[in-house]
Amino acid sequence: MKKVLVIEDNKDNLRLISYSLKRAGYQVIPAESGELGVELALSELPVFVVMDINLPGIDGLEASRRIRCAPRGGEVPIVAITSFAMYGDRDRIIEAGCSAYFEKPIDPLTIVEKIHAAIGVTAPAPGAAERAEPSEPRETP
Amino acid sequence: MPFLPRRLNFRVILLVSAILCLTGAMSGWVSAKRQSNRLTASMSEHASVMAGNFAMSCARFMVLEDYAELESFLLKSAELPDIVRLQVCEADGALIGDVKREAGGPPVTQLGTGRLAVPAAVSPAMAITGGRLVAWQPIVVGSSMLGWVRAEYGMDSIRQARTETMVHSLLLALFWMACSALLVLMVLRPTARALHALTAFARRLDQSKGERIAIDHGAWEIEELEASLNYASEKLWSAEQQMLVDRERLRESEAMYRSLVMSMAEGVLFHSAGGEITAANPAAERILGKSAAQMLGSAADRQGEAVCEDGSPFPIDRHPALVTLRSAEPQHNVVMGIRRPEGSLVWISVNSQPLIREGETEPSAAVTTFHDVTERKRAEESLLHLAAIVEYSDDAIISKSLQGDILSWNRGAQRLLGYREAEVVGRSIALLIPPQRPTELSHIMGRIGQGSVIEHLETQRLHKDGSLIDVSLTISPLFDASGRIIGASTIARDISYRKRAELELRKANEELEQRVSERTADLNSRSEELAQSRQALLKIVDDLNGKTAELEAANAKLKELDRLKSMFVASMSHELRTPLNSIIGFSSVVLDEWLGPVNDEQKENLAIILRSGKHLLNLINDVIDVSKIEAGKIELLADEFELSELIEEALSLVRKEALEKGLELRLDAPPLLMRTDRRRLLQCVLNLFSNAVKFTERGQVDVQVRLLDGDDQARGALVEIAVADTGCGIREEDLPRMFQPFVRLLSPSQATVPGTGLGLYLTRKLAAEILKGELLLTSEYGKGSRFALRIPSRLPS
Repeated sequence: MKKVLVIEDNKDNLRLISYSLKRAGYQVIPAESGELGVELALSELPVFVVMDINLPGIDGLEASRRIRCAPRGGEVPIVAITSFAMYGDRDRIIEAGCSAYFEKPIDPLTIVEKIHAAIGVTAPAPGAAERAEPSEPRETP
Repeated sequence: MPFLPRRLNFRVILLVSAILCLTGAMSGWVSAKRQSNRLTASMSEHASVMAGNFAMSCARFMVLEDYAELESFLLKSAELPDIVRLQVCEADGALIGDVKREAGGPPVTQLGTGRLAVPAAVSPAMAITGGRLVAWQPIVVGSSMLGWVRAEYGMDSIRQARTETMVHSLLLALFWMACSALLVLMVLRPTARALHALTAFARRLDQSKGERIAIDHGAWEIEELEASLNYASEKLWSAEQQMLVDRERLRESEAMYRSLVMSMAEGVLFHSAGGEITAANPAAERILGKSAAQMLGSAADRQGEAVCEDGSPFPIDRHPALVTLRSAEPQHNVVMGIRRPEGSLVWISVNSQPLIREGETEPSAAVTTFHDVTERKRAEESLLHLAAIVEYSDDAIISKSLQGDILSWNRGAQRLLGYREAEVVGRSIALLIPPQRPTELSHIMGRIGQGSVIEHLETQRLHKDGSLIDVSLTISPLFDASGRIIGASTIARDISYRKRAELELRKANEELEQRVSERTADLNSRSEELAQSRQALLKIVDDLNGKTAELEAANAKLKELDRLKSMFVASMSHELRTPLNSIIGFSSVVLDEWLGPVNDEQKENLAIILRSGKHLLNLINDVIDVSKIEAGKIELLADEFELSELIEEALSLVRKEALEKGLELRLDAPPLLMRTDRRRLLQCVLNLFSNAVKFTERGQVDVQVRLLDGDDQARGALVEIAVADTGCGIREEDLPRMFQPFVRLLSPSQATVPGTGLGLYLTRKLAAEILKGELLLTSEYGKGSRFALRIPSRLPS
C-alpha cells in the first residue's frame, strides 16, 4: 500500500483530504504538527507529502525546508495546500522546497488527480480503494 | 674463332703449318699416284713380253704333245717374280696345265680339269681384275691356233711402292712444317716483342700520370708511336687534372652559392621551364609560411592565392616567374600579396631572372627572389595616411631643419600664409617672422634643440602679402631613427578670428558694465518695494505650511487605513477559506455519494450548500483581486498564446448554462497570436461571457474578435473582443454606474441573479491596469448590451 503523509492541524481539513487520498488507493499517515511531519516524512518514506502551511510550532515552509535538507528526504514531492492566497505567497512556498501548490478550498473530486499531474506521479492501481483496508500489511516486504 | 690460340705468333705458326701440311700431303699423293702408274705400265709391258715367250715355249710342247715337259716348264716359269698363276688351255678353253703360287711358297700344280672363258679375238689381251694383272697370249703355230696362255701377276710390289712414296712425302712435309714454324717464329719474334713492349708501355702509361715513359725498343715506328702516345697521355693527364680542379672549384662554388641562397633573408624559388617550383630556400618557407616540401612541384602561383595591391586576385599569367619564363626578360619589384596557409596575408616584392643555357634562347628555368614588404607596405600606408592627414589639415603644418630651412609645407600653411609649397621649401623660416619679433626664432630653435615641445604659443606671423596673422603655434622636435633631433614641426592655428572676437567681447563688456551701473541705481529703488511685498508673501507661506501639515497628517491616516483594509481583506480571505474548504469539500463528497446513497431532496439541498459555498468563494476571490489591483500588487505576466483558443476555453465554461437556457452562442474569432497576461484576459473574457449568459433569457450571445486600426509599434495591433447579447439591456441613466463596485441593477424579470457585484468593476480594472486597454459598453434598454474589450495584442513582458 502506497503511503501519503498529510501534515495538517485542522482535523476537518485532514478528514476531507483523507477521503480523496484513500479513494485514490493511498494509505494516509496524518501528522498534526510540523515537527512530527518532518520525522514521519523521513521514516515512513511516503509517495508524497501534503503540507498545510499555517501550522502550530514550525510552519509548513520550515517543515518543507527541513525535509529538503535531510539526507533521505531530499526527493520526496511536497504538495502545499494553503489558504494563503495573497501576492508573493506562491514564491515563498516554492522557495521553501515544495513541488506544487494548491489553494484552499480544494475540490475533493479532483484534487488527487491534480496532485498527480503536478508532481508527475501515476495513480495506484484502480480499484485499490475497495480492498485497501484489510490487505494493508501485505504490501510491505 | 674460339679454337684458335689468342696469341698472334701462334696463330701465324698454325696457319703456315696447316698450309705446309696440306701441300706436302697433296704432293705426296700425286707422286705416289704417278709412281704406281709408271710401275703398272712397265709390268704390263713385261707381262706381255713374258706371255709371248710362254706361248712360243708352250707351242712346242703342244705340238709334241709333251704335257709333262709343259708342266715342268710352267712350274719353272711360275717362279718368276710377280707371277702368281700360269694356265694353259686348248683353243676351246679346255685346261691343259695350271700352276699357282701362294705368297711366299713354291709354285704348285693345280689338279683337275676345267674350262676357261677365252677371249673371242685371237690376239694378246691384257686386263686388270681383282688387283691382279691378267695377260692372255694365243698359242699359234703357223696358221693354226693351238690354244691360250693365261698369266696372272700380283700387284703387291706396286702397292708397296706407292705406300712408301706416300710415307716419304709425309715425312718430308712434317720436316718442312717444323722448319717453317721455326722460321716463322724467328721472323715474327721482333714484331711480337715490339707488340709486347707496347702493351707493357701502354699499361705503364696508364699509371704514369702524364709522365714520359721510355720504351726499350729500337724500331723507328715504335719510337714514333711512343712519342705520340706519350704526348697524348700527357695531354690527357693535364686535361684530367684540370677537370678535377674544375670540379672541385665547381663544388666549392656550388656549396658557396647554396649556403648563400640558404642564408639569404630574401626568399628564393627556382622554377622549371613549366613554371613548377623546383627548390625553395628557408627564407621563402618563412615568408610564405609553407615548407619547401609543400611548395615543390606546385605551380608558380595557384589561382586565388595571390592578390594585387588593390585587393583583386593576382592574374596568374602576370606572375613574374611565368612572365620571365615566357619572355626571357627579368622582372623587377612586382608587389603581390600571398595568402599564407594559416590565413594571414603577406606582401612580397618579387624579382625574377631567367636562366638561359649557352646557345639557347628559351629560358630553361627561372629564379624568383622576394622579400617581405608587409611591414613596409603597412608603414607606407600609415605614412600616406598621416601625410593625407597633414596635407588636408585645416591647420598649417610646417617642418623645418634645425638650421631653420623649411622642409615641408601643407595646404593649411598655404591657406594661412599665402605661400605655395614650391615657393618656400628650402627657404628659411625667418621669412615668416615679423620684423618686430627678432629674437623669437632663436628662442624657439634653442628650446627645440633641447628637445622640449612648445605648446600654444600665441604670436604673429607674416603673410605673403605682408599682413600680420595671429597664430597659435605648437612646435615639437623631429627625431631621426637614432633619436637625434633633426628639425622641428610646427602646427600653426589661425586665431585671428578668436583675437577679433576677444576684442569685440572686451568692448561689449565695457558697454555692458556701463549699462549695468546705470540700471543698478534704478533697481535699488525697486528692491525697496520688493522687500515689502516679500514680507507679505512670507506670511501667506506660513499659513500654507500649517495647512500642509494638516493635510499630511490626514494623508498618513488614510494610508494607515488603506493598509488596515488590505490586512483585513487578506486575513478575512484566509479565515473564510478554511470553513469554505469544509463546506464545499464535504458537500461535494456527500453529494457525490462517496459515503453512501443520498436521496434526491438531500441532493438538492447539498447542491444549494455547494453552490452557496462556491459563490462565497467567488466573492472572496473578487475582493482579493480588487484589493490587489488597488494596492498595485498585480503584475503583468505576459505569455504567447492563441486568442481563439482562449475564447474557446472561456466559452466552454459557460456553454452548459447557455444550453440550459436555450441560448445560441455565436463565435467569430480569426486565429490571432497574442502576447499579454493570459490568465487575466481569460478572467475578463469569462466574466463578460458569464454576464451575457446570465442576463439573457432568450436569443443569442455573439462573440466577435477583430483587429482595429491604429497599429502601435510597441504594443502591436489593437484587438477588440466584443460580446453582444440580446438580454435585458441597461437604461441610459444606469450606464455610468455599471462599473462601480457592489452596484447591482435589478433585472426586468425581477429574478434573483447570482453575482458578487464586483465582476464588471474588476474586469474594467484588469483591462485598464493589467492589459493596458479599455472596456466599452453600449446598450439599448430591452434589446441587449454590447461589451467591447479593446486591448493591445502584444505587450512587453
